[in-house]
Amino acid sequence: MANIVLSRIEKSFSQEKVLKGIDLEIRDGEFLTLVGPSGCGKSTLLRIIAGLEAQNSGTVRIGERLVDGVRASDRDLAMVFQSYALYPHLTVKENMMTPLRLRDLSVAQRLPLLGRFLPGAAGKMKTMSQAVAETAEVLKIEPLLARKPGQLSGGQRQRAALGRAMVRRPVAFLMDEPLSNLDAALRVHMRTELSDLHRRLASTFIYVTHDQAEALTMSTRMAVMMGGEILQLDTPSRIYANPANRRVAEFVGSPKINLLKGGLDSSGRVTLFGKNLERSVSAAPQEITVGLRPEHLTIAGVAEGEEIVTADVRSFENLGSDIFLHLSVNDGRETLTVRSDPDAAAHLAMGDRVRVGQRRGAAMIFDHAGERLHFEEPLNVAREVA
Amino acid sequence: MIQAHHIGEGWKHLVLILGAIIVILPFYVMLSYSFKSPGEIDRNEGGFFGAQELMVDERCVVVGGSREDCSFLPVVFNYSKAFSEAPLLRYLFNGVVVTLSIFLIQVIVALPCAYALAKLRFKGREFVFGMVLFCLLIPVHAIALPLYIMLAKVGLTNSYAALIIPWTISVFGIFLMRQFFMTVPDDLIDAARMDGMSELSIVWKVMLPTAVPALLAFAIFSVVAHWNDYFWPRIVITGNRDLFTPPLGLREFKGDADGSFYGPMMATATIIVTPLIVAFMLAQRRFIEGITLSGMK
Ligand SMILES: Nc1ncnc2c1ncn2[C@@H]1O[C@H](COP(=O)(O)OP(=O)(O)O)[C@@H](O)[C@H]1O
Ligand SMILES: [Mg+2]
Repeated sequence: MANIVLSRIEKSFSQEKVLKGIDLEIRDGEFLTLVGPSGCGKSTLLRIIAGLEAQNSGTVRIGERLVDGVRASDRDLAMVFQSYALYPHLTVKENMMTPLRLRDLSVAQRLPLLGRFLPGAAGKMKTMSQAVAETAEVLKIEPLLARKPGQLSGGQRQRAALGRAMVRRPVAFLMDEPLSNLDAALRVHMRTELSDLHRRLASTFIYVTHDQAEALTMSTRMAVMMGGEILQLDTPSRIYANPANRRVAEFVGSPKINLLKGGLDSSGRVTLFGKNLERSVSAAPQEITVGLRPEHLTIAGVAEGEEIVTADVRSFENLGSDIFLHLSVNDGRETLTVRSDPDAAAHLAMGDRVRVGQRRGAAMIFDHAGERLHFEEPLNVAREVA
Repeated sequence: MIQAHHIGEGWKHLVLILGAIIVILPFYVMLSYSFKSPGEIDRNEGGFFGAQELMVDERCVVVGGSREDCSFLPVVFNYSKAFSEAPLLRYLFNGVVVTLSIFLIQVIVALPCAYALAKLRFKGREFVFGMVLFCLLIPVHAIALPLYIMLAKVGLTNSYAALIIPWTISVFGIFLMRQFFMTVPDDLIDAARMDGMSELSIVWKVMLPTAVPALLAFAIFSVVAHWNDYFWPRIVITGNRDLFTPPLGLREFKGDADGSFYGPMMATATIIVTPLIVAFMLAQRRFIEGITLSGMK
């Protein structure tokens, strides 16, 4: 139906370059998340797609249509804002009617009192009321229709705002951190609801968030943005498993990936903590960074000599199902986070020395500039440390 | 410790009560005089209401009425004189027309201005706002003469227009509303744009309803100032008594050398301030309730 294609979008606010040539194709019906730390230009990009902000250069295409210079309301998009932005003096129903009235009724038909008696108005009003009722049913907000936003809880306002976006049946939904103002439990719950809604509507969602967990859980594809650029665009699982560079690796995943200083010898072999990893890359000798996710490491059943390093326990982060151990290596010059079974960590105390082994998957190697280096002969000589 | 606290409280109340008395005293005198007979006013007796003994209107007798026909209760005499001596109802009507027109046009001008200054990005916005602040500093009296001359040149003196036009652009209104609009979240405006509202619809359909408390504050300021204004009507309304506003009406009772018209004069004054007080009482509740922006945050 409608792909949204951005090409070479640039935007500056008084000298400061906020977007540096964004190319992005959003496929019809996908849930695309723009994720990145705050200030990286996500909202600006979304507002450019919406038509609320004009880019300095580049083009936005929705389907076959070039929409540069087209008014926001004529782009057939709907937006959900972080602050919900409901009209405070109107009821939920009136809030949801507003975009329909403005789109479907003529100027004369919108006149107060008189307008509704003009030919055609009654029929349109009926269709509009029906659309509102249907949307309210989907979102389960029928009992709230007569209330004003001030009388609603945060979650209810969120739904009302969603409803106002949905009644228009837009080509795509734009959402700017819509869950940020909710409390933690509701936020997690709404993730599932939004995913369900996406499936049900089969419409394009463009979703902005600074929370990588939201991006990982909901997206079809996610675009990791930093400093006004898209660093990587892929499915959540591929980005998690295969970050293109060090900044992406660091941003995606919680707790954060362990980034450890390593080295390359002249034959391209990787060394970590003075030991050889038995893997090599084709690059000149240099300082490198070895990335190991907490779940790639283990402290359970690591035989002597098989460990990659020994470390001291500094703190425990108990999540119930898992325990994350924060370890210090080399007298605290480096730190490591390791995921562990609660059972395996039960006997440990602060300050204990443990052997850290590699569990599964391969380490990720980043060169001195932070770009990913790939192993030469993948996995055939990968050692399996139990 | 506790006693010291009580003494402190006592002082506070004493000071506040004194302040209140100073503010209320003129109103007390106005109201009291409007009830009393000339004799009681002269001799300063009769308490608040006066004795309300029948009094004889000497003028009525001079014109040829019998003494019985010319006997009134002082309060009736004062208030009926207020309406009969001058066309007070006509003056009140003029006052309403003038103050409401001024306020309405002020709102029509100030809201879009304030919206542009608060929410639209354009070159020179800061400069324009600087000019608004600068205009706040210009006293009315300084520009009264040039204004009068300009109105006279286009032949507008002695008309409603002369009473209204100079006040239609209220820089204070623009400033006040701009400050309020600054607190309205940008998201709300963007949502309205996404919904398809034009910028002017946003002003009237989104900004205006959220700005009701600020608008009420401005209404009180504007209406009180122009209802009570004596200076400007006195300048531009020179001959035609039909255009007198209520404060000008008060002059009708001045200049009677015998001073016997204090009673009706104060009755007139009471009638003039009453609408303001009633309007304020009505507005007060809305003032406090207001439409909060809580729906947006
Ligand atoms: N209207 C504006 N005027 C000036 N600078 C802006 C404006 N909007 C955004 N910026 C700047 O652009 C950068 C990116 O902002 P934004 O897109 O809101 O980031 P994000 O949504 O990723 O947190 C920030 O540094 C911000 O200060
Ligand atoms: Mg943002």
